[in-house]
Parts: sequence; C-alpha cells; structure tokens
Amino acid sequence: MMKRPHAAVSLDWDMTPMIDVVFLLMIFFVFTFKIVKQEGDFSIKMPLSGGNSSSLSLDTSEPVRIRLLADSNGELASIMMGDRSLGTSFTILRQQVMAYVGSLSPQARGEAEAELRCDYELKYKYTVDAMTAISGYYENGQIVPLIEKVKFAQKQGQSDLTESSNEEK
Amino acid sequence: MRFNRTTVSNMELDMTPMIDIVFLLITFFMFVFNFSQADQNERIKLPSSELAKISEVSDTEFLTLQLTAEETILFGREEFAFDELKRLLSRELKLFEALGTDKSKVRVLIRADARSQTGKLQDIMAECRRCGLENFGLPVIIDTPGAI
Repeated sequence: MMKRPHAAVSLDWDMTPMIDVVFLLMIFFVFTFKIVKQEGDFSIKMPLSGGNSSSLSLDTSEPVRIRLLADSNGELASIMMGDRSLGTSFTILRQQVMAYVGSLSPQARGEAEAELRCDYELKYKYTVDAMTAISGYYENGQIVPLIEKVKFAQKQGQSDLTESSNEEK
Repeated sequence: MRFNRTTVSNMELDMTPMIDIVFLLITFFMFVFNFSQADQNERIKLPSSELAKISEVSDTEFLTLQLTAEETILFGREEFAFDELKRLLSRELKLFEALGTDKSKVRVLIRADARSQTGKLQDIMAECRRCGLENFGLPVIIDTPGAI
C-alpha cells in the first residue's frame, strides 16, 4: 500500500526538455526536406588504347556510326546514321536502330555497338536523347534493350595525345 | 481551495498523442532526408531520360565532377575553370593512390547540365583518360513514362 503511490510519483517526470528537443529536430527535418528526383546513369567505358587490342580484335562487327550535327546555337540540326540523314527526329533514329538490331543474329545483338560523334557545340541534352534512342525503348512498362554499348567517337589524333602525355611523365 | 485544485488538474493535459505524432513526423522526415546526395548542386539541371539505369552499388570508387552551363567544373564545393581540371585530377588520383585504390576501378560520374556543350563533356572525358581513368557514368534524371 505504501509502495504504490511512491512508484507513481517517480514515474511522473518532466517532459518539457524532451519535447523541446523533439520539436527542434522536427523543425530541422522540415526545413531540409527536399524532393529529389531519382537519378540513374548511362555507363560508358572508354578503355585506354594500351593493352586492349586483343578485345578490340574480337569485335568483328563495326559499330553503328551516329553523327549529331548542331547549328550555331547548339541546337540539333540533323542526325545521321551511317551516311543517311534522318532529320531531327529521335523517333526515326530509334526506328532505324530497331531495324538494324532486328537484322542482326541473336548472338550479335548483345555485341552490337554504337559510336556517337557529336558536334562540339551541341547541347548535352540532345546527346542524352540520342543515347536514350539508341539504347532501347519502353514497351508495356518493360525496357526493350537495343544497343547497350554506346561510346563516343574519339577526336582525330587523340591517341597521339595520350601517348605524348605519357612520354612527358 | 477546491476551486483552485480543479484548475490545476485541468492544466495537466495528456501529451502522449501529440508526442506520438511528433515522433512519427520525425521518423518520416529522417527517412526521406538525403544524406548521400550531398554533392549534388542545384545549379545543375540534369537532362532526363527514361532508360537510365540506377547504378548498382558496388565497391568501386567514385569521383563526381559537375559541369555547369557556364562551362565551369564543380568538384565538391569548389568551382574550377576547365584549365584547372588537370591539376584537380592529379590531386585526386594521388589521394586514391595513397588509399591504395586501383585507378582503373575509379568511376568518374560527370553530372553535366543539359545546356552545356557536348564537346566540353568529351574534353573532360579525354582529360580523365589521359590520367588513366576509363570508366564513366553520365547521371540523368529518370522519368519513367508510366509514372505520375
């Protein structure tokens, strides 16, 4: 009988400091709250010229050459696949890439490679659009891959530059 | 005396529900808080693509370079002119070397603004390759066509 009221008194502690801290925490999190869009990335492997000639010789298929031309403002002027001009529509580019991939044997499909050559001034968003068009498309909520290996064309004489910089060291 | 006592007991309101809700809110905000993406700069408007893959978490090392629309490079909180990239890369590679990381495993993430020039991006890649870095990632915002 004597113990009960005693225990009840000791449990009744002051909650004010805890509530203060909890409110401060909440205010901090509310103010730093920011909706961040999910980011993904395109992987690009550009092996250095040295020591990779063996894997290059295994690639019997030529990469599909895609050229993006820019006007003076950096906007897209025209897309070329091989020697053909496709206008400025990425949908047509995708259809052409689909036709190309469809003509390959199933074995060669995974090995297919595309090489992008873009004008210097071209805005980056067009490059990403082109990579999207080449790498696949969405169908019924599923990604259908087309050409998964996309690389950038190297500038003329770039390999020479690599060598010369190595010599300097 | 009696009157006084009743007012005191009225003042002691039950705070349990309020604390419950406040804790729930804190938990929610803590979970949506973005700790990992501290090096994303708001100035950079990434292009969007529906096909970019969420990069799988691996043990590889990252190096994030950000290319602004004004053609400068952001690294961490520092801003560089393009000419200084070489110095920056050699400094970072020394760090990786000191940590014993193989530099061919280092992945360079280039977060480029949608308005920046593709040529500039390729210049950065060329500079990285000269330093022996060969794995690149180009982050973009994923816009799933089915999503709201």
